[in-house]
This record gives sequence, structure tokens and C-alpha cells, in this order.
Amino acid sequence: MSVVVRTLKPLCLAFTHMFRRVFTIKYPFQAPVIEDDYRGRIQFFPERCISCGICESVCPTAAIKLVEVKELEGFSEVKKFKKPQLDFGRCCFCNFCVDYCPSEALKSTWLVELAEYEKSKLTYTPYKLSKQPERPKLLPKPKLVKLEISKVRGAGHAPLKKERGKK
Amino acid sequence: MSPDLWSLIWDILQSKLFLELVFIPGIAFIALFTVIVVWAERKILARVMMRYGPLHVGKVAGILQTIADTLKLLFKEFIPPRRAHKAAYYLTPVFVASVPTLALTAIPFSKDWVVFPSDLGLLIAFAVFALSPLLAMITGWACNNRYTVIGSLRVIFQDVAAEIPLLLSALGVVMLSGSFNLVNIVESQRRLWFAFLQPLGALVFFIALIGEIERVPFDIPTAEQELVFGWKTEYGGILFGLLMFGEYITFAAGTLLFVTLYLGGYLGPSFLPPMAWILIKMGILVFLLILIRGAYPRLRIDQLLSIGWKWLIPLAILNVLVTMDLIYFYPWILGG
Repeated sequence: MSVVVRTLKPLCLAFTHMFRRVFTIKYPFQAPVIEDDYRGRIQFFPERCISCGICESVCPTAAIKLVEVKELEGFSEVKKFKKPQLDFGRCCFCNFCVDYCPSEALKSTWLVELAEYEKSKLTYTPYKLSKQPERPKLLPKPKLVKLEISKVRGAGHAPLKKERGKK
Repeated sequence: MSPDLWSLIWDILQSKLFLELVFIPGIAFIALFTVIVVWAERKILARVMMRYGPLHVGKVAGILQTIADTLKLLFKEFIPPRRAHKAAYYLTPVFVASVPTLALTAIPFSKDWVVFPSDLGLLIAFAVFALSPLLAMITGWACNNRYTVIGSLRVIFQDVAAEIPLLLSALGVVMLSGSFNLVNIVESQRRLWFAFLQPLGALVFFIALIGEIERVPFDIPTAEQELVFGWKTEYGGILFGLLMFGEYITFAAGTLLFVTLYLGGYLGPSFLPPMAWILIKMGILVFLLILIRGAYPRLRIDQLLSIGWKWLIPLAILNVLVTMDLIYFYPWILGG
């Protein structure tokens, strides 16, 4: 008898699972839940940096490079020193730099959407690195459009709903 | 065109054979079944795993996802392996997709709605089922790849272990109804379905059927995690689509055969036509098989063989003996 119970139990379980809450989220249309201490983009606090260069030497993928910072770049109150510049095309998000930083000038944030169209944009200068990441705006749901070809502008699109309303 | 030709075309269009071949159980039924069942399988499996499943193609719940996938397969390039047997490589998908449809010709959808009415309908269905491992073997050998060869060898092992209990358990039904004619078999279930008269036979037939149509937990020949895709590894594009199409036609034929043999076929209360009843029963069975796919892990080939040879075949023989005794000692169960 126990054999029958053991055989039928997974089937009943699978059936009850059908009516449970869905675990996955519709990602581009729905915000993913990312914790604040996630190993995402690294934020740089220039006023805390002592320019020791430990982050550069500890970086396993050589993504961090210390560069000279000009005063005009937004660090007028900070003295002229070399500050870290991070190439996210090379970064492996190991957080060694965050762990080794003696003055806690580097911190990881939750931002994971770092895709760019150009590789050069992945290199974050100290000024860009020090910006607080903003919560991304969610993509709106795609609207249905229809193809519209005009002689002046070439191929374009027009909303489909208005057409429906006219009919 | 002359009026004679028009009237001839009109006669053909009106003839029953045309309706049967085109609508049910013909091309339209098979295509619609494949489209809906592939979608339903993905959706139900996703729900079992607490996912969404197909969502965007088509307005409601990704219902057009299968059609989109088919279109994608149509436009894909297929690359034959260099050392493949080209003729067999290109021809077998066509046969894999077309041969199982012959099994549908024997299934009665109502008392007079059979494409090929025959006194040996059950044997025709089983003969068509017996052809599928041969095609799989030719496919696996023609591709000249180690995965396809292992997959086709597994098909042969599995089908021997599954087909003997399948035939033996169907023997009980034949003994009770006294006929190989599927219409007679359905008609003799008017008082009681054979699933209740032969619970053991129905169980053995069901398990052997899952092995025969190569579905989880017996999808050992196409085990994605060990063999890349079993005997279908080397195919791409619409040839792969044809192989999957054949698989789902076999699925349809198997479920319809189970419904016909054990669940009273087209019989049911008269407020729905008989064709609706057989399709409803088939739908429930398809849902159960999809749920089984979501619930159970795949067996190993030796486990399947031990189940087939040590359990299913003895149980099927036991079922035949019990049925013989029943008919001898209680002849009233035959309805006489």
C-alpha cells in the first residue's frame, strides 16, 4: 500500500503546485527584487579615498587603474591625487577592492543593469564611479503599432489603437 | 472548367472520406492537436514548476507560441552531418511524421466514423506502433553519430520491453469483447467500461503505453541530460519539426487507443455528440500524461527493462489468466 501512496504523492503534489503563486517575475516589465548588499556596480566615495592603490594591486582582472583627477571634474574640495577608475568590461564583481579598501571608500550597490552599446562607456571614471546609482525606470509594456511608410520620413510606426477607434 | 468537373469536386468535398481525411482524424485534427498540446504541455509544466510559461506571443497566455516556433523551424537551415547516409537522413523524418497517422485510421470517433473500418483494427494500430522503433533505428544509424546510435539502441530495448505487455494486456480486452474490431470493442463497453472490468490490464497498458510513446518518465531514448537529444540529435530546422510532429501524433494515437480500449471510446451521455466524448476523454488523459511528466524523474534503461520484463509482462499474463477464469466461471460479464 505504501508503494501506491509513494507513487501517487508526487502526482498530487504536482497538481497542487499548478494553483500556487508564480515564483518568477516578468522581468523587464516588473522590477526584480535585488537586495541592497548585492554585488552589483561599485560606488566610489572620493572624500574617503586616501589614494593608497591597494584596490589596483588586489584586482584579479586588472579592471581598476589609478588615474590622475583634475579639479574641474567635480572634486574641487578634494586634493589632487590619483583615484581609481574601473572598467566594468573587465570587472568580475569579486568585491576584493571593497574588502581590501582600508578607508571604506568603495562600496558595492544593487545595480546590475550595466549593459551599454559601446565598450568604451563601460569604463567608469572616478567621477562617474562616485555617482549614486538610481533605481532604474521600468520599461513600459510594449504597445502594438502598425507600419507607416511616408515619403518624407521613411519607415515609421503609428499606434494601432487609434485605428481601431476610427473603425 | 466543365460543370462535370465542378460536380465531381463538389461530390468529393461532400464525401465522408474527405471530411475524415481533412478534418477529423485527418490533417486539421493532427495539426490542431499538436499545436494545442505542445502549448498546453509547456504551460502546464510551467505551472507545475511555478513559472509563467509562454506569455507574449498571441494575445492570451502565449497561445500562438507553437505556431511561432513552427515558423522559426521552417526558416532554419539544417546541416546534415558529413558522414551521414544522406537519403536516409532526409527521408526518415517524413516517414516518422507520416507513419503514426496510419494508427489514427483505425480509431472509431463514432459508430460509423472510422477512416478504415476493419475487423482487425486493433492489430492495425499495434502494427503501426511496431514500425516506430524501426524508423528510429534507421534514423539513428543514418546520422552516424554516437548519441543517435545509442539513442536508437535504447529505442529498440525499450520498445521490446514495452510492446509485449502492451499487446498482452490488450488481449484481455479482446477476450472480453470477442473481437479485434475497435467499434465492437467500444460497443461492448456500453454497460461498463473495461477499465473497471480490467483494472490490472488497464494499469499495465497505461504504463506500457508511456514507454511505447517515449514520454517522461520513460523518455530514455531522448534523454536530454545524457544523450544530447537521443536519436534526434543531428536534426535541425523543419526536419526536427517533423520528428517532433511524429512524436505528438504517436502521443495522440496512443491516448486515443487507451480511451477506445478501456474508457469506453466515444460512449457517453447523449447531450454531446460521440466525437466530443472521445475528445474530452482524450484531453483528460493528455493532461494526466503531461502532469506525469511534471511529477516523475526519468528512469534508467536497466530500471525500465526490469519493470518491463519482471513486472509488466508477468502482470499482463496474470491479467489474461484472470480474464479467462472470469469468462469461464462468470459468463454473464460478457453480457450474454
